[in-house]
Amino acid sequence: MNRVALLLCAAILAPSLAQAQDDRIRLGIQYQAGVRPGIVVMAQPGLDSVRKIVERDLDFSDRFEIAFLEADAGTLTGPFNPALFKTLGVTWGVELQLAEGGVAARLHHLPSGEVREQWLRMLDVRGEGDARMMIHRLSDDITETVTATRGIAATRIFFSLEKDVWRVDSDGANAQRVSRGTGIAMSPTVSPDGQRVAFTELRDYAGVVVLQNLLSGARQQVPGTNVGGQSITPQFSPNGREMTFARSTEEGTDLFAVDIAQSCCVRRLTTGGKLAASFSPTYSPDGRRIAFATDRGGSAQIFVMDADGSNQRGLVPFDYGQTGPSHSPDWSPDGSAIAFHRDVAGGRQIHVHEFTTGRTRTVTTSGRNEDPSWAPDARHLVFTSTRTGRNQLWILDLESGRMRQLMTLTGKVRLAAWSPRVGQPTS
Amino acid sequence: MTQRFASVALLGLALAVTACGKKEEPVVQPPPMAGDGARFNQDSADAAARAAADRAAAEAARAAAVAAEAARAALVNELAETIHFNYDQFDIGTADRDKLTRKAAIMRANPALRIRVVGHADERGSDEYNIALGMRRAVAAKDFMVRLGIDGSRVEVASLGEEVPLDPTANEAAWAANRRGEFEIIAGGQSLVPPGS
Repeated sequence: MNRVALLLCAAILAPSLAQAQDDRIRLGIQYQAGVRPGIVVMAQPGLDSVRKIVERDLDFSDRFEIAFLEADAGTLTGPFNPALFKTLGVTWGVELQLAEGGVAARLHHLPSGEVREQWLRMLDVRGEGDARMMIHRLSDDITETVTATRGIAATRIFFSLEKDVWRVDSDGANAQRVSRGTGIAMSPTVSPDGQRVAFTELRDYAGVVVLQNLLSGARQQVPGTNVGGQSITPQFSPNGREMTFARSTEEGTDLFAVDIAQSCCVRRLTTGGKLAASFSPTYSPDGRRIAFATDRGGSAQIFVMDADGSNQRGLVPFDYGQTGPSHSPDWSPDGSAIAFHRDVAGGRQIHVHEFTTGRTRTVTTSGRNEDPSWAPDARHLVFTSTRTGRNQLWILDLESGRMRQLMTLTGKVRLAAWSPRVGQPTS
Repeated sequence: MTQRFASVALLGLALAVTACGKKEEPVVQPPPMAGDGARFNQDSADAAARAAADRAAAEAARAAAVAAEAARAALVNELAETIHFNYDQFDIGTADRDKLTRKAAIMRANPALRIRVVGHADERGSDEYNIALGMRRAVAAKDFMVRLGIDGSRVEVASLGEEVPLDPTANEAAWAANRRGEFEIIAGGQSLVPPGS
């Protein structure tokens, strides 16, 4: 991690900051010089939950070095003290204060002494349940103001746990079941507006794609997926009007597309017959192409076609008969890369193929790693890994190489899908 | 009344068996409602004989039913016998060809019989690909039987991928057990005749 932890004792605290001289406040700062700006989050009493969520969000954005207040720091009250944090080399300070019905946040640019931005947010300061999303949005506002790029705190990760689909906030908290235990639910995918989820439900020897509205809870079966066989690996088109999926029947496993806006017009995209299975489609962000996995060349590899099924060809280079099976492609939101997993000597690893360089990078090394899904910022991936012995979801920042475990849940956790940024609170 | 008749019949049977040739000295007095003792005794003996025959017939029928059920159960077991596959493969192995040939023979002998083959995979392959792989395994089994003359409409196929393992542990033995094709009867299994009968 190349991180240096620096502990400073209360001696350097300016008197105006500490409410009482006796308060022993320790500050810890982690930094990597010259790479990421340092930031500290301070809050009035009563806002500790909010402070912790914001601090962790900024940390998990991997765009800051966090100067954190340790657990025994007590509370920081009184006026914000820029001098202290200047001493620490911190560039930014977030000041959180209680306001009527919520929180007033101010972003201090410490070198200039300016308040660069301020927000007044109505939110539940307890920071529990789905109310946390308002706090995550504040974190993303801070990230965007400092880095000119919106953060990914206000997102969710959908995944399969045992026989159900669940969701969890991007910081690993607030896990909730989404499907209803009416079958084996797997392979969730989230609509571009973040308001619908689709997943395969295996039930009565059939596999149907269920489309569930996250606001109303209403469910429907996607046309073309409830006509026999197993319909798997659904994906929304970028405009949210179409869905593509694979259907596995006696005739083989092939890709189809359906107009979900009008509930009609199922179209077959591939015709591999019994000899070639095609599955796991993923749209390019412009919606014009679909990458997918197919074993038409022996072991499964990553191919691409136009969205109407024409012009099918290999996408990620491979050596015929040599390269291990490659599965679960996910097209990055900025269109610049494809992430997938591939069997290599010693395991199954996440790979990223970059279109700009034509290079395919192996980005994991230990354990069995599968089913990557991009965050909306196109630099973080969530995937399943056995690196600690059993299936858990992990998040990798491709820029820093930092890896974190999303959460700890007991049971078979897998098949994660990172949602777009969440616009509205969802039920 | 039925019960009483049965006891009378049993009584008659006892007479018939133990007092052969001594029917003028009945051991037990007939019930009071009987008018003519001799006539009653004759009727009683006839009833006893009929009942014995009925009982024997019922016994035989029961024995036949038990045997038929045993035979049916044996056929059901043969139909349900699981087949297995190599890692990431869906071709039918030698031993399983015999099993499928036998299943096909049973299906030929029982035209009303319809079955479902469900393909399963071990946990090592990609989860979603395993749905397709399980389907290929089910279809491979079906195709084998169709080549032996079984109408395809009598064999349904499905896949559960790696979702329903027989053995959830992570070792070679468990994986081998989990890579399988399972069979179940979906119609026409109430009575089965063995092939060649």
